[in-house]
Amino acid sequence: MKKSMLVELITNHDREALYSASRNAATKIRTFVWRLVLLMLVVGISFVIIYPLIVKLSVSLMSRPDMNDVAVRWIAKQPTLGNFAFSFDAMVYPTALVNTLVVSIVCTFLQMFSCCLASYAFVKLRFPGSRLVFLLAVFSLVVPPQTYMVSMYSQFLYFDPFGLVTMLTGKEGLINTFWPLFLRSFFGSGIRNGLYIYLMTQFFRNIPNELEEAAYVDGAGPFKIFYRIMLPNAVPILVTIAVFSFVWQWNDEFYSALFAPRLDFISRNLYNINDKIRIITGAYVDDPAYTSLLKNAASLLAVAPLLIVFVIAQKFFVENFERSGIVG
Amino acid sequence: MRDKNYYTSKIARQKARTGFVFSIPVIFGVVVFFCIPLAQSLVVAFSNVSPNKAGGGLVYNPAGWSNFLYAFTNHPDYFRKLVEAIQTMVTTVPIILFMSFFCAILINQKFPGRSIARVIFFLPIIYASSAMLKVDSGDVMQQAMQSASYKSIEASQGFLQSFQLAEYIRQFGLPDQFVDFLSSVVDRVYQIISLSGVQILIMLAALQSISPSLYEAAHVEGAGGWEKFWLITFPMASSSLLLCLIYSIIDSFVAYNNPIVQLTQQMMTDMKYGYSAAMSWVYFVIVSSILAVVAIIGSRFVFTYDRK
Repeated sequence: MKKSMLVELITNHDREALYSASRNAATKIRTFVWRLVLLMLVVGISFVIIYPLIVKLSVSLMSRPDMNDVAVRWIAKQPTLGNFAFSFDAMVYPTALVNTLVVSIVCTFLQMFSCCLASYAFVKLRFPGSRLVFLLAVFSLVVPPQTYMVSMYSQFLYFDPFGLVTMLTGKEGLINTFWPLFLRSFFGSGIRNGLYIYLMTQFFRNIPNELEEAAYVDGAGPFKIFYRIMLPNAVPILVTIAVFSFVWQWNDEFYSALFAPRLDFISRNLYNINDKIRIITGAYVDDPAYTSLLKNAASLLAVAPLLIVFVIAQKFFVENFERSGIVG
Repeated sequence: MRDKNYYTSKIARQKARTGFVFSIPVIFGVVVFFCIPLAQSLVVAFSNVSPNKAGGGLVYNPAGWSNFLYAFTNHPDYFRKLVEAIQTMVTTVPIILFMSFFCAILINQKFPGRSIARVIFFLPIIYASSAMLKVDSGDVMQQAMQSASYKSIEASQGFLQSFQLAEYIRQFGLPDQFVDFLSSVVDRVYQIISLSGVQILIMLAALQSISPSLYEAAHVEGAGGWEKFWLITFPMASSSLLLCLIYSIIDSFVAYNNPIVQLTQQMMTDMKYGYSAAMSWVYFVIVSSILAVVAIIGSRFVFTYDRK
């Protein structure tokens, strides 16, 4: 009797062990398959994203004989940096790089400054009419800038309060200087400012009111609360916005063409690379394939500084993107 | 009690004053760089602009609705381009939305090499620019590189193209429009990913803000992955989905390669200010009403916590 009970107990135990083992194996297989599918999707999408860059690199390293060679598909037989050198000259690269860097950095800081202050005011320091200003600022995203580009242009063409501009620069108006871009950024009308203001207000909305109420009770003023409490908390969202602002400023072609048509900017020179190549060679290059080599080299040159900075600082950026607390 | 009221109102006044000071730059910018130019363009839309023969500058003669009439009755393809712009938006935005939500969910999972994947997924934000797209369009060498095989004519369509796939699906007897739509999605996969950088970011932030305790509770109750997704992830991310939807619509309407934007810019450079402004305003009113409808309908379906 006793023995049979024991046997039953043991077999029961075995059965359960067997059952749980098989279940474990099933879940293991399932997680493995899931992982595999996930990895395949990620690798696939990553490949689609990187593919154009690989093509560009491969094409821009080819020399002229290579492009007519049927055997060459990816790797050039006679690799050359000549295309880069040519595009470097065609884009007036050093000047364009300095101009673009100055405009991008200064505009980014100005935009962040005005957006951050205003967004904080729109959420936590309401004043009569603040809602209207907020709506208008965000609404400016919806209007294509082409709609009012002539008015914008003439605003700066004849911009001369009290004759100060003429007195200081000796020229009339601000066209072909950096000032229109700087002024627009500072006054919250730069590239996609509405988006930054919206994201920032979302961020400040998620900060509980109790935090600042405590500070008010302790006798701090609104300004002190802003830069002692809010600003340190807002670093991730500020970094995110700064990345967007810098990148879009760098890639912008419309505003720089409108306000400073005679200055060299990287994105602008890339946009007009055909004309720039013609200036160097004196005539249109009649060979579309060769032009293509030069264009690919030029576009790599244009994006290289951004890519390098992003890859070096990617950990910092991506972490901040993720902690930015943008929630719709 | 009276003291406290006095105190709070004093603080409130101080707050409002500081708030006003904080937003002076933006107020100034909105008035001077947005409202005034916009109002001017509205004036231009209703007037006949001609260069002043005597002095410099331009002369504005009131023209009533003639510019608008011209846009719809005389201009060869304004109306067609208007329809095309809206059509492109309607077909592209849902795919962008789906793609960005999908990508955000993907890179929110735990898997080896996740940090590299995240960097790569954010790359389109950096290098998808109008200048880059212009340089790439009609690039001879890239097309030559992408034609996968010289053996078959079908494959000359290229690497990321779906000619064979489309032919294969067509054999099932599915309607042609559907197959065309599907293959156009596959053909434009790079373009779609390059347009969804910001959206991926917003979605990822939304996914990460969902409290893990919700999933734990659901797990204890015996919910599977499917239920967790539809009952937790989807509703919690719905407000971000709406934000992404609105952002994508705006993005597609103001994009540099939007047919209407290109048309108005071209007319502007041809000095046809009146026509250009009228066309822009019609477009702009249509876009705003589409956005308003989307926002109103969307906000009904969005789940939000009751905030106090």
